[in-house]
Amino acid sequence: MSKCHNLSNQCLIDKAQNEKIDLVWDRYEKMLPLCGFGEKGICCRICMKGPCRIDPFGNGPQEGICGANADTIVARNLVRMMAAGAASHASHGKEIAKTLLNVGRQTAKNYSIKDPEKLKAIAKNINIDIEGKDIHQIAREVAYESLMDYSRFEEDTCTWLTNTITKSRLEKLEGLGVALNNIESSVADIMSRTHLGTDADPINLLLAGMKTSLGDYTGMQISTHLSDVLFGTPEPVISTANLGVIKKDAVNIAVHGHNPLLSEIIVDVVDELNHEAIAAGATAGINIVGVCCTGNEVLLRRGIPMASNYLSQELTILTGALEAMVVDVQCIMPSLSKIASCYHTKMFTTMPEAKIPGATHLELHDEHALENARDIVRQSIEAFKRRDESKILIPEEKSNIIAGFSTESIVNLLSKIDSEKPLRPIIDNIVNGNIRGVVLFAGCNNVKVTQDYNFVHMAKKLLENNILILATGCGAGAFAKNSLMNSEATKEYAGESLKAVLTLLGKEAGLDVPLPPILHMGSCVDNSRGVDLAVALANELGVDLNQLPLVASAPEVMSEKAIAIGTWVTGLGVPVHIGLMPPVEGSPLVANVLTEGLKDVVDGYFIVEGDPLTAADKLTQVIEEKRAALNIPSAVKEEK
Amino acid sequence: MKVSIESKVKFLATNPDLCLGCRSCELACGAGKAAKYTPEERNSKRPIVPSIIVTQAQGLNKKIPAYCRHCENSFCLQLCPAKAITREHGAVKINDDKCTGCGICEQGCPYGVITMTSYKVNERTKTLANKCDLCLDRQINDRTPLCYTACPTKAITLHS
Ligand code: SF4
Ligand code: SF4
Ligand code: SF4
Ligand code: SF4
Repeated sequence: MSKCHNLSNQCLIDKAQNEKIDLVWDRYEKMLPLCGFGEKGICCRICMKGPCRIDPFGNGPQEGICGANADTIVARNLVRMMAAGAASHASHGKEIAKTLLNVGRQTAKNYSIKDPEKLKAIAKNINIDIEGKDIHQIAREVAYESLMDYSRFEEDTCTWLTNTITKSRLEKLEGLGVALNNIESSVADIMSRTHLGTDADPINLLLAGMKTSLGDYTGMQISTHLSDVLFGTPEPVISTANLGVIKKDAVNIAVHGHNPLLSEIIVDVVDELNHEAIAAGATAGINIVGVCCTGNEVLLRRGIPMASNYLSQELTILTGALEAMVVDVQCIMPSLSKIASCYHTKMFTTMPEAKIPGATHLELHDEHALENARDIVRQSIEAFKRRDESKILIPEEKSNIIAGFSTESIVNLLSKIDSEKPLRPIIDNIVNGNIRGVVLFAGCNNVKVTQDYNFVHMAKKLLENNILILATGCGAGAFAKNSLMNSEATKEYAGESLKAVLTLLGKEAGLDVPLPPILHMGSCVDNSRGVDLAVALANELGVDLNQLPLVASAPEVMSEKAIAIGTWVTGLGVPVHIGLMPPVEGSPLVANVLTEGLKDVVDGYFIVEGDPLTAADKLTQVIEEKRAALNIPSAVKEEK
Repeated sequence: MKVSIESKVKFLATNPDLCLGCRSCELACGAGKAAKYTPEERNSKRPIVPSIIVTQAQGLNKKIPAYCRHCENSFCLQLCPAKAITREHGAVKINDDKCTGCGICEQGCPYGVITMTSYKVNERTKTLANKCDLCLDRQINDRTPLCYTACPTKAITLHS
């Protein structure tokens, strides 16, 4: 199995081997065999009578010491993963909401309201009266209302859940008792009910998992939209992606993690210190590059080039030309600091809850943010002087990309065609079959799959079938790096009718070129943008989300966050493909609920398929069934 | 008397279909070995290697425990120039005090289940071959081999 689908990265993998530096792939190989009890979810470490393991073959123990069987153990473990995912996305959103509150109080001197119109639109959407109120007061009220979603003790459904999904969906979720009132208490509820000797009913556990996953969704909505208020709503932007964005003659600083609160500050101070970098001999000045979702955030809003998605993050340091790796939270491999120590690269952690041994800790979210950001940039310039020229190897390849497709920017683009009903052109083309359906790609990379391979191969096949693709997170990173997010990709990979639509839309919208066939909607918290678009389409069509010819896919899924996302997507009624089996095989009951039973309850369900081409066929099939149910048969291409 | 002991010593068999790769067998075997080390061996940090090794080929979701077959015509036994390998109660056994660490047995084993380890004693490097002895000391006391005992799925079985 090769390690990266993108061959330009291979030279750095070889370089690591020559330099005897272990990368994620080497550590994986050393870890084999992976413990099958963990893989199947039937290892329980919840109390100290254990750990207990259930023998899935029936020869050994069938119950833990307390009597919990495989179903209980698998369900408990799984919903704990969901709670962890929800906690991480939700605290990201909470940081942003608190910052907005402080901006409203005019006590956050490093931040401001960059998109007041969006703030007002949000206020309207969540039923806050803005008549006669100044922008700071609106900010305070919106932040307060959002923070209520973290602290409400009344039983009312979260504001950001109620106001962002279709009415019928909300009723369905409320009917099931999973429309939560408080994100953080849903996480606490999971931790408490999974404590030894509490909830043993796998179905009851899974329902609670759905509830906390909807907390993940709610936190994402808050993250995305309040970030737009603070940092600007993304507009289409042209940039580049892949390791080739690292420049030999620049001070290269990578921003990595998830929270734009920190990366934005770094980007802000670069201009004022650029001359110092040039004076230090870096003729191209300072070059900020993105990794993972922090990378997506600054790509969409500032056009910052994207160096790497999750699995190849270590390779950025292997180029020998990275002066600093600045990280915040989530998806940061602890290995980075050790690899950085083999080079001149400085590693900086910036959040109180995410320190890494070997890294320098300088916080970027408090009152010292600006001076600490300057300190980081200056230390990077110092590091530049210590570069070892003989260790530099920067792969040349970089792809052109068009990113920045927020729901607002898509609507803006389309309103140039039909200002009354901007979504009409998309709907018409879906109805007439020029666009057969939409797949939202999200999620991580996983070392068990050749990096980006599943994403790229699924996408090519879907595009050929005239299916439009939206992408977020490291999925978007995969497409960006592999030249699938530009106009050439539309010409090369989109089926005839999809190509015609994208070309027309591109022209009518005033761009000279076709729209890319895969629209980059942002980081993984920006899956909310995909939902917003889907909800707008569903409302326009007068249907619910489950009826749309829409599916989601995380073909290289890895993290707990991805499990939470996948779960709420099914809760919203949308089928989700995952390319790897989550740790549930030890309980056929739980596995069946996820892939079958869920369908009867929330319409959405999981499709597990490891082979990307088969998966693309399955998703096409689902889309066809949805079209048939809506009575809009495909006018274009027969199934092969 | 001897005959009766020999007849009760059991050999290992495994069923890879039942193996989950938990490595409990490795852990139990290694722990059993370490428990028998002399204080000197412990002081000089003699490496602990299990004699059963669970492998997984990349991309192949199958876990395979590899262990000594105690072959009838054991290559290792025949090849050992120091006559350090003998058969006891049916088990092919390495005698540490005779092993010179030449590594010929390791090369000769068709199953790749002999491991060479080195450590320092009084400034001198001592190299030894390690392999499974069927937990003879346990078996002759009516106790089962450690790996078998530890396996939670009964992927390891015993047979005569
Ligand atoms: S909670 Fe039950 S199954 Fe889990 S470790 Fe304790 S006794 Fe074992
Ligand atoms: S390593 Fe030891 S047991 Fe193996 S052949 Fe050489 S002397 Fe014999
Ligand atoms: S029988 Fe004993 S020595 Fe042989 S592999 Fe099992 S535990 Fe190790
Ligand atoms: S203890 Fe059993 S299941 Fe675990 S690795 Fe060894 S043989 Fe396989």
